Amino acid sequence: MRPRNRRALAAAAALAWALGAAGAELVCFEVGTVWTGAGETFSPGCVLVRGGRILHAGAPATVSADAVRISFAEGFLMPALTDAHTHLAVRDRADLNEAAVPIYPQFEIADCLAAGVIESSALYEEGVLAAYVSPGPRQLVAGRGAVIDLAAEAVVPGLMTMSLTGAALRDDGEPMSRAGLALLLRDKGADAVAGAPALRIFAAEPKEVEQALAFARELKAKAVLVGCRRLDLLPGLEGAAKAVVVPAPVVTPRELGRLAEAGRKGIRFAFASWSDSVWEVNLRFLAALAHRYGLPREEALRGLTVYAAEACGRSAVLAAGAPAEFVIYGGDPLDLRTPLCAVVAGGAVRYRPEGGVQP
Amino acid sequence: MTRRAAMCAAVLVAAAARCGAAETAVVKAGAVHTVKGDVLAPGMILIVDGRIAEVGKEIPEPEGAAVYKAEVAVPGFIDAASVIGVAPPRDEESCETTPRVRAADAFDAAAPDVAAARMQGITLARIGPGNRNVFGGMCALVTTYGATARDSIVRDEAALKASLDPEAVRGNRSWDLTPPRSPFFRRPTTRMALVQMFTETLERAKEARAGLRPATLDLEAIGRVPAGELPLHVYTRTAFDLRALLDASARAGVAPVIEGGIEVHRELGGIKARGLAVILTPEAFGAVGALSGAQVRASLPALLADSEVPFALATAGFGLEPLDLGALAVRHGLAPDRALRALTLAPARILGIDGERGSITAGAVADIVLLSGAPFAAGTRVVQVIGNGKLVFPKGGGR
Amino acid sequence: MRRISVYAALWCGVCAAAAHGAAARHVTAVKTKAAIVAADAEIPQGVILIEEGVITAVDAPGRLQIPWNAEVIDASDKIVMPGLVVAHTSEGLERQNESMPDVPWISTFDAIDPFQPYFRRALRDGVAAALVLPGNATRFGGTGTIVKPAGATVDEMLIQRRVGLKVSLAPAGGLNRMGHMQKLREFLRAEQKFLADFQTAKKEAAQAGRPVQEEVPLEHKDMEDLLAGRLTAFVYCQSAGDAVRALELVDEFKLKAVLVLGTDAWRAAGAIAKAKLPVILPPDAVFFDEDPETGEVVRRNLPAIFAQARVPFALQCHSRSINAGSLWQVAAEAVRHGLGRKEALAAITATPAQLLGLGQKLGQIKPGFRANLLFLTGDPLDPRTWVDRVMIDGAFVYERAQDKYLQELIEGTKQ
Repeated sequence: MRPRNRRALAAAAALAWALGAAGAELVCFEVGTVWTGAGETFSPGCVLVRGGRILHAGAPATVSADAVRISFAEGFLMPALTDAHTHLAVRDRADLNEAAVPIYPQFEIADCLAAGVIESSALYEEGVLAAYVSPGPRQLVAGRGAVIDLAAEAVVPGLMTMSLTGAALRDDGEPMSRAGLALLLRDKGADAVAGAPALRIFAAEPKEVEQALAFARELKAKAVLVGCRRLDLLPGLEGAAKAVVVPAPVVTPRELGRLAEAGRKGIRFAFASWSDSVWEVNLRFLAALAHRYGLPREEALRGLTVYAAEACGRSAVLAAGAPAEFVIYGGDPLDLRTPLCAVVAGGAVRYRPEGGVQP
Repeated sequence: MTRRAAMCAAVLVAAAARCGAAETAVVKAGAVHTVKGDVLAPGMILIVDGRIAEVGKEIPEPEGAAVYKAEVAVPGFIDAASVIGVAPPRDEESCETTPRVRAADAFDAAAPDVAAARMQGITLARIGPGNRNVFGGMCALVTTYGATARDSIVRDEAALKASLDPEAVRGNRSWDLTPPRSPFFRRPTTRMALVQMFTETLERAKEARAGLRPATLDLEAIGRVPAGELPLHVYTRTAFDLRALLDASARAGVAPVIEGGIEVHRELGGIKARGLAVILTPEAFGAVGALSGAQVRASLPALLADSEVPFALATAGFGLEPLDLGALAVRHGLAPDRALRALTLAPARILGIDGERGSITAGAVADIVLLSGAPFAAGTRVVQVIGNGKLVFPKGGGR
Repeated sequence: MRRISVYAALWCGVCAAAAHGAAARHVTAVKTKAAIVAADAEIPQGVILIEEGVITAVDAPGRLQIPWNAEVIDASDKIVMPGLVVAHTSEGLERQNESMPDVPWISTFDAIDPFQPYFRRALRDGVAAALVLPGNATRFGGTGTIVKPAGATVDEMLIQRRVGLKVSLAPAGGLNRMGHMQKLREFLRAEQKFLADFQTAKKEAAQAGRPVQEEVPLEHKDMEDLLAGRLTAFVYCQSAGDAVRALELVDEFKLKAVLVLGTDAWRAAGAIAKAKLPVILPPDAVFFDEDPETGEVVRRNLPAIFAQARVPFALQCHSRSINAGSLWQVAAEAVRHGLGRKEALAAITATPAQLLGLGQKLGQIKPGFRANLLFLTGDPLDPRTWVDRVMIDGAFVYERAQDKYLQELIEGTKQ
């Protein structure tokens, strides 16, 4: 039996068992395409959800008549989008860093977020269910970011943030020069972030990226590089293929070409709006542009979902057991004319363009 | 001839054994200035796997070798005081003594001034902190043709940089007109204190090394200098600073390299007696304008050559190219071959890498500059630059 | 007795007349190793005849006859070329700019300081004539003065007054380019209107039989000459956009103009070539530039760019000290990176002379030209060459052997 068929059989069996053991309602989303983010695309496809969790995401399955069926014949179902880097819900730019001190790992940006006042429908319209709020680049160790988790309607802690850019230099105290910043990193950096499984590091110039990767390697932590320029030089750097890169906003043809080329050579880019207003979150546009300039389709879609979630310390792949958080578009999501059909969170339709936010 | 052929063959065999196909190149020039030996006219250079395998009048050309033809071939220029690849501010001024700050950590191989230096024929540069700290940090040796910073760094800690320039104290304030937590509050504010701080820190480092006082990381770093493990490069601005340096370094038992070389003619006896070397920058011989408080002397390069004081000509970020510096020195009486040496072998010796670079001899790294005519003659320019055996300028250039 | 005294008187008279005649025709003959008479013409062992500060003849030794009573200067080991001409400098003034923006009526003649180090350095480098103009920080800065860098008073230095009017398109006084251009045009139009009204009033007065004011008031004279094309505008353009706007201005007001370019203005070379205007290049004419599109580092050679565009150009320099930034270094660097030797030499002699309106008097060694000669120890573009002596108007005004300051800078007698 072919592996694929074997898997389908196993899934069906598990399904049958789950159905048998059911308590909560079973919802079946029947769509034209299911893109799981794990490397497989199913056309047509189906996602089964019970109790806020995914039971099955893949080929169409037969379900009992009392299951709730939600159909989008041409729908493209994919994991919900994550905005990999924003400054949403921060009232004041000064709140982004405790800039008086170069190393301040205790800083939690969640403490100054007014997340409740976000106009979430704007984010839903963009298909976004999670947005990462990051501290600024003005400290060597800036503390932890936060994820605005719209699905859970909560703010969860993010990753430890560092900065190796010129913004971390001061004019009235240590560090005042780049070499001084590097020395501070060598002397005190490792202790300050010890134990962090992943590090988000602001690194713009190639030199800073090199330093960031070396530091993360030394600490055996995963690296998320934020704000990189000279994307064409990334493939040549040791360890860059294992990191996730959130590039500085790219809209010029030259930079988009570089992003696409680096993406083809194995660099994993996550798309981010870098904005402090929900009305300026434009992830699909960035992905579509990158794809148009040569970034492979799979990489563009992953950049919106899988890699972006990784950049926040989370996961976004649709598989059995994962939380039921996904979006359904009316066609190819990389075609900007495609409308949004529905946003599903917690196992139920949370948002439809016509109907607004469902509680 | 047989011995040379045998050596050549041996190198080729060794190289071939190491990797399936050795990367070979041949330079054919109307004149090859080896600097360590004679000028070969005409001459040929055989390059195998980034190293010079053989230099001679006639060398058999291996099959598949890249061929470079030029009027003149000279060793790649070595800039002993360079500012490329490190964006300002170059001084960690939050503290006056920062010996463990390393220029290598701030070097960006993709910076445009690195490409500009390469186009001028500079293949190796000493980068370091500026002149605004008493002990500024560690200088590094970098090539101008590496793809990344890691590839370019030849030596992370090549020398410790110090400065007796009164600029290091200008801008400090001793009164509490500034907020007390400003780093400019407790630093030396007079020249006396500057010299004293230099001397005292060296003394403390020696004591720490001898176990007479607790060792801090900074003192340990500085202590490598009197122990002879690390060279010390000191920038001075006037003959007064030079005298202070000579006295302080004699007391501490340290032989510094004099950087800048401004007014060295006034302390020439002392410098010669102690066998010190000088990295001469354009300020010292009037290549950038009059200096306030210091005497510019255009014949300094010739004077140092005649007095047999080893010296290098360096750009120090003043915008003059090595060919310009050499031409100016020649104009004021330095012999052209001495000028070429001051840009190649002399800085290599001062930086302790003369076995590897600074000359066109068998065994050296293949850093070679191809010129359109005799060095420092009218109209001579850099045509091609070979770095580690590969063509690094112009990119995509022809054979 | 009376016959002897008559003959004696006659003989004295004849001798006196002969002696007087011979003294009036004092001729100097310069023997050279080679005479570079023009940028593209060199006469080996050329001989130059000078009379009363003017060159009367220059030719190969076989084709020229040296008068028996000529003073012979034996420079047969020196290469002789025309004295250098600087077409634009703002150094040598006490302050480069007036603080008011529209002051066309002032003149650098009144602010030249003969003791500024600039003149000493210029002479040492072989400059025989320089046009001193106001700086770049005013709109209509004033008129310029051509001086030789030798003399203790401005009158001694003077070659010609009221040459060129400086106009600057670089915004100053807190304005941006739009405001700056608007004020510039306003001023020009206001002057046009004033002059038109003046002519009308003049005619009416003449017809009515009233007393007529012949000349325009002094503060409008310079603008009148500018608008009539009698005074050349030296227009400073910082960027390429400024250069294009300058061309439009020149076209609109029918000005006679020379563009003084900043480092970024080279991109307008094509437009300038079409308009057939000459340019004066900035001091740092060969430099490294980062291409904004590709990020590639390239070496820009402005003289070569303009030579290829067939735009006549002159070079500037900023001479900081003995070894820094002379015209020779600028020219040699341009040649090193691709400029032709002929164009380089022309850019520091004949071309600037033409821009100054003295193309028949300066910049070449030909009959009728002023005797401004440089005695060089070698080829002009060789970095080892020194300017040994400088002759201006037939007299030596600089000798390297007697330049104590140079000796001090080279060898430093202070210990």
